[in-house]
Amino acid sequence: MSLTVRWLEMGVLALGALLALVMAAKAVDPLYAFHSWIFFAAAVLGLFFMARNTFSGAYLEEKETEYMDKVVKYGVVATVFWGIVGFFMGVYVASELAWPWLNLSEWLNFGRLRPVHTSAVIFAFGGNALIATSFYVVQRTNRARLAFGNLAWFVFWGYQLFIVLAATSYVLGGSQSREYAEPEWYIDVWLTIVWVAYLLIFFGTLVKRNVSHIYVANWFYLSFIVTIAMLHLGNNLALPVSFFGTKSYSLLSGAPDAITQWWYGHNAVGFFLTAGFLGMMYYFVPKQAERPVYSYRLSIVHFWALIFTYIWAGPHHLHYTALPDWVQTLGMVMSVILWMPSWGGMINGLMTLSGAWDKLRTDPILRMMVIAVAFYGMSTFEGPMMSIKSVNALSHFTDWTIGHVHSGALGWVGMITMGSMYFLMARLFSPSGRLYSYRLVSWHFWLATLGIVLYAAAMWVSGIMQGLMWREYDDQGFLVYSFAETVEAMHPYYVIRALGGLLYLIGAVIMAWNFYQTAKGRVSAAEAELAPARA
Amino acid sequence: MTYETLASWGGTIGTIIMVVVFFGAVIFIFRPGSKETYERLSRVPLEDDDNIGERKDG
Repeated sequence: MSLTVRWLEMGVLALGALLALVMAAKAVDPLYAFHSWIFFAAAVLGLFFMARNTFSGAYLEEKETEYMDKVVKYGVVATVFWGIVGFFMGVYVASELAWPWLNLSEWLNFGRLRPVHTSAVIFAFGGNALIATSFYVVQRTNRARLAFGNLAWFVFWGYQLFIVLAATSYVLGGSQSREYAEPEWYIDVWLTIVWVAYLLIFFGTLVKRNVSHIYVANWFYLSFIVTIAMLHLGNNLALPVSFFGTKSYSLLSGAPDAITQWWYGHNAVGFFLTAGFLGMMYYFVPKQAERPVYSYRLSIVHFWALIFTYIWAGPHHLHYTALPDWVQTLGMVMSVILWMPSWGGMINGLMTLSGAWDKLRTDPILRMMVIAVAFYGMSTFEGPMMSIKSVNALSHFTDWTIGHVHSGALGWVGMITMGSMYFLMARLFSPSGRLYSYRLVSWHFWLATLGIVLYAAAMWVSGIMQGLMWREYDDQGFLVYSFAETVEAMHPYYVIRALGGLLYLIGAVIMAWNFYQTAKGRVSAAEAELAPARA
Repeated sequence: MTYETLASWGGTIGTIIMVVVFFGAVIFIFRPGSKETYERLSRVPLEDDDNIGERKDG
């Protein structure tokens, strides 16, 4: 890359730092001022490292004929780090529900920490995993280096900046109160810039590919990137009160506002937590099993069926509300139809193991991926069922929903991510191609699986109990239970849920330890004489 | 034209387009003689190694 380009890039960073200074000077509220200083610090740090890299000539070592793997490696580290942060926050907010005295101060109360947990696991852990694996897969399957050079670094660091801004904003009380889209308008603008850069890189790499056919995993990744861009823009249409202040108001109001939010919310599930991670499945499961995809035809049908159907499913979050009845029914019908593509995809993932099922006994990474696909099947069975209006009348607003989300999030998203991360650790970090310890992966697998079982089972019981208690009438037509009585009845299940989350967190800490040892090039003494390097 | 007419026509046309495109894609995927192509494509993840730009076919 030429020196001119690097000077230009540094100029942009300097301008960004200047703009952040102006924002800090004119800020009308303390949170905005604080975030302006974070922007400023990020730009200055970026400038410093780019200058160091430029003047030392280190950038000349980057070759166009090699894959750009360093940014993927940073992504793996970020995924593991944010995973532990997000799981810890989950355990903490779960404990706050079980033992309310843990709501220690305004900054640490449930209302503020809950979005820190959801954003940390979905966007920080999941998002970093998606960016890292998409960069890895798009290069390998298209035999091309990432397009636009340093822009990949901008995407990586820009995304981390978004996470820091979002998390500090929630703790300090800045939120636009849209679920999974809590960050205020200026953070949304920043994410838009980062996301467009991400799309450019991914699309640019597809354009300069050295193969004729674009492998199906890339389709899933691309649909994830494009749809998230569309959803993010659609759901964050808001007018700021001042360009130098935090507060903004949504352009829409009432039912249109609500349906826009859940069009976003459910498609964040469909395209972020499903399509993106299916891209991961279609590359890393065949890779780890060393078997071809079971049916490539099915993968194409899977893709188009999923894309055509998911976008309509959002209204099932608003059953029995002011939303027009036909929209609710449409959401329900489309959700039920989703059974087919989801199960088609699950079968395709599982059957990829045909001829390699024996590997489940010896390979804990593959075991992790397979249980992920199994949880994908379970939660995509449960979801359509819960979207049926009469079932939803019982399940909505109860813990059943929380249990459903977590069997998808911990089971599908978490496990497929951690399986893929182990694959990348062995590939990119280990000199021998081996992890430090496969026994520890096995421990991680069992702790996480047991954690999910405790979590989901507790929430099924507590959710259905909660729903039944709410609708219990006596023969006089009075409600039998007060709200506080339902809360009291849920206490034991909240404790079990927190315990399940804790097991999941311990599993992730074991992964981090294993990762650290692997990166140091060590092989556990007990496993040193086992099979030679895994490819 | 009222909103209702427009919405009803929009829904009908949208449904037709989506059904035709979807089943068109399915028919295309199952076109005769494509079995070999798809079997080759299903092995794409297994073929990649660290040689950038080497394989020119799909």
